[in-house]
Amino acid sequence: MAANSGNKIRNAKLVLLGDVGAGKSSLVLRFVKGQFVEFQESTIGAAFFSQTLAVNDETVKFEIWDTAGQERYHSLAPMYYRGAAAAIVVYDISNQASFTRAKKWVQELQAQGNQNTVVALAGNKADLVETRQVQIEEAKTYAQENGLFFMETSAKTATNVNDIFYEIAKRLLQGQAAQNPQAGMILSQRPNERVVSASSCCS
Amino acid sequence: MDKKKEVNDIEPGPDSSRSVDRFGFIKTEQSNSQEGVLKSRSTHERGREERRIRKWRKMIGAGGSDWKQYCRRNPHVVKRRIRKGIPDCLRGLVWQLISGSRDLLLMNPGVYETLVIYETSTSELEIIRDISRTFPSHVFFQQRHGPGQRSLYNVLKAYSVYDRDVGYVQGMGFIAGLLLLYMSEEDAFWLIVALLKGAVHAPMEGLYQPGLPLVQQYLFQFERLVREHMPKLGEHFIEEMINPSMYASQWFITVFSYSFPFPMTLRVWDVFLYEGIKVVFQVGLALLRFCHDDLVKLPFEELLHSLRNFPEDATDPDKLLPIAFSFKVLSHLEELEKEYRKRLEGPNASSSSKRLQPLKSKSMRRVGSQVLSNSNVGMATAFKAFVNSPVGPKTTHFWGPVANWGFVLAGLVDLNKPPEMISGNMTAAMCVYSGLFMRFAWMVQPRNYLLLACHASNETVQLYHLSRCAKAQGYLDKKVPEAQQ
Repeated sequence: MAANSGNKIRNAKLVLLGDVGAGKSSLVLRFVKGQFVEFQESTIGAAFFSQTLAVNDETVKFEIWDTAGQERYHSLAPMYYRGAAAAIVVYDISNQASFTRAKKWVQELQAQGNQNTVVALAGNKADLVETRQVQIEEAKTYAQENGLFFMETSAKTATNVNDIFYEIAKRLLQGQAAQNPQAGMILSQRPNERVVSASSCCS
Repeated sequence: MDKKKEVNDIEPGPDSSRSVDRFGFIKTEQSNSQEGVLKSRSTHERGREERRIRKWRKMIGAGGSDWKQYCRRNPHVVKRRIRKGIPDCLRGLVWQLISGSRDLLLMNPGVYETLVIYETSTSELEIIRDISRTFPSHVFFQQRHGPGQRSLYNVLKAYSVYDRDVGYVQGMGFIAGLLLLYMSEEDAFWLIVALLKGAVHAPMEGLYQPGLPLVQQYLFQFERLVREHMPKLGEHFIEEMINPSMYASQWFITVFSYSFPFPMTLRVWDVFLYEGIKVVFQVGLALLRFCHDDLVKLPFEELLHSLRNFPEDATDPDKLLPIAFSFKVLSHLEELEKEYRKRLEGPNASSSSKRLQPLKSKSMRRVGSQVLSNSNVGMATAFKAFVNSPVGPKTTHFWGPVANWGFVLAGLVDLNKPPEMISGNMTAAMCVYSGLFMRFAWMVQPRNYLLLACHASNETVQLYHLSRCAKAQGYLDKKVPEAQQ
């Protein structure tokens, strides 16, 4: 998954948004470290991770901002989603309120007006089928209407976790190629870096 | 509502096969090295520790009875000893003494119980969701619905009822959890009240209020302090587009109780409770200073990583705290706070943001009184603030009083005219009129000093005229009627 090919590395800023306890940190930890903890410490402020992904013959390096979910921390969020190439809006399929909150995040991102931002909707905790409150169809329809791509994920069982990041990487590369075929792509304002290594922090 | 919780109820619980460190945290492979530090400390210090405890017991007296007196007599000794670390067995008691929470507890018997048992909070669900995510690696808080989780819930709920504006905010849990390891629920609750409401030091509730105003202020102050004390690093942060909210917001929100080694957290809290928030700035600066030479070389990503994962050495309190105390920040912090306030007020005065209304009208009052006393309104910001103020020249509340000065001028011009020309009825009406307006100008929000001054002057002038009139008509002259007879 993490790749160290000789190709150019594209940096992409990605932000995770969603309700308290939807599983934002767990998704990132699964993706970056391949780990899962049942009781993940609450995120205070925000946490930063990075991970590289090879897509065909190109490499995308995600700079991931994992934000705190509580409404009170909302005032800090714009700093993290501003200039982001991609966003994953996470909700918990066993909690209807978290889906409502996810919709609010989507609205806020859309109001930002950056149409190039790839927005993914992740219905997390897909392993909790018995206590499901948000139906797949409902989320799918919502995602289609709003031009998001949607997946149900489970950080616990690792279902679709790498897939959702892979899909984002693919779309980023496609979008970039379509828009700006000749020039090198800039997915975030940060300059490309030489080092290719999976690193992470604040777990 | 949260059915997931029930499913998860078959939680592992405290696993007796796993060993815990001396503070009750479950050991992981990664924390072996940290344990090494502790071991070397405990063997090295055991003998000294006992002597220290004896000294401390003497200083505190039975149940804290001698503490206040000792503090008054020997403040420097107390400060020095606290900086060396409070003995772990006395920590809970001393924390309550130095934070002022003891007094709050004694002044409010039964209040905590009422808050826990009889009140309901809108934050209850939010608190429940975070309970098992607060110090999940500590044995005390591991067991679902165990005593640790229950007391954590109670304290947080009680506070969310006690201060409904703040309610529950993520991050408070770590502070409450830390305190609960050293004291009872009720004691922990009052200590949080003492901190947030400001029993001894400046109140810190702004850390958790909507918009996190105090977090924003602290981050502003911290950024400036970094630039001041470590210009090279400050420059590097700017180049790499790192701002302190990316790494330091949790330092302030949880006062280093989140994601730092526990021995360091405790020592920071010892000093923080006694000396106040400046300690958090000092410790933050010390962390940066400790790693300064590495940090200035790192690019964005590695820099962020390092700012969240400090090396073991850096978080050893015996190495870190001396560096921290070498930074003198107190007076600079005050200046920066003033500067920050000014910045907030500047753009705010011209906007009609309702959120900061109280602050705004307060500044207006100050500006208004400056105009009255005709002193230097020269300051550009103050002048701008005045122009845009609710009693400024863009409003009728300014021009109304200005027009009213006409009464005063007319009255002054009439001073030399013969008293026979004065209409007693009209002048009396003017007196009542100005009296009423003086009351209005005083009561209205924001207080209109210009109007008040105008009508106070008019009242004076008209009363004088009234007295002239009365004199001329003979009302004041008692001897005249006698002479006529």
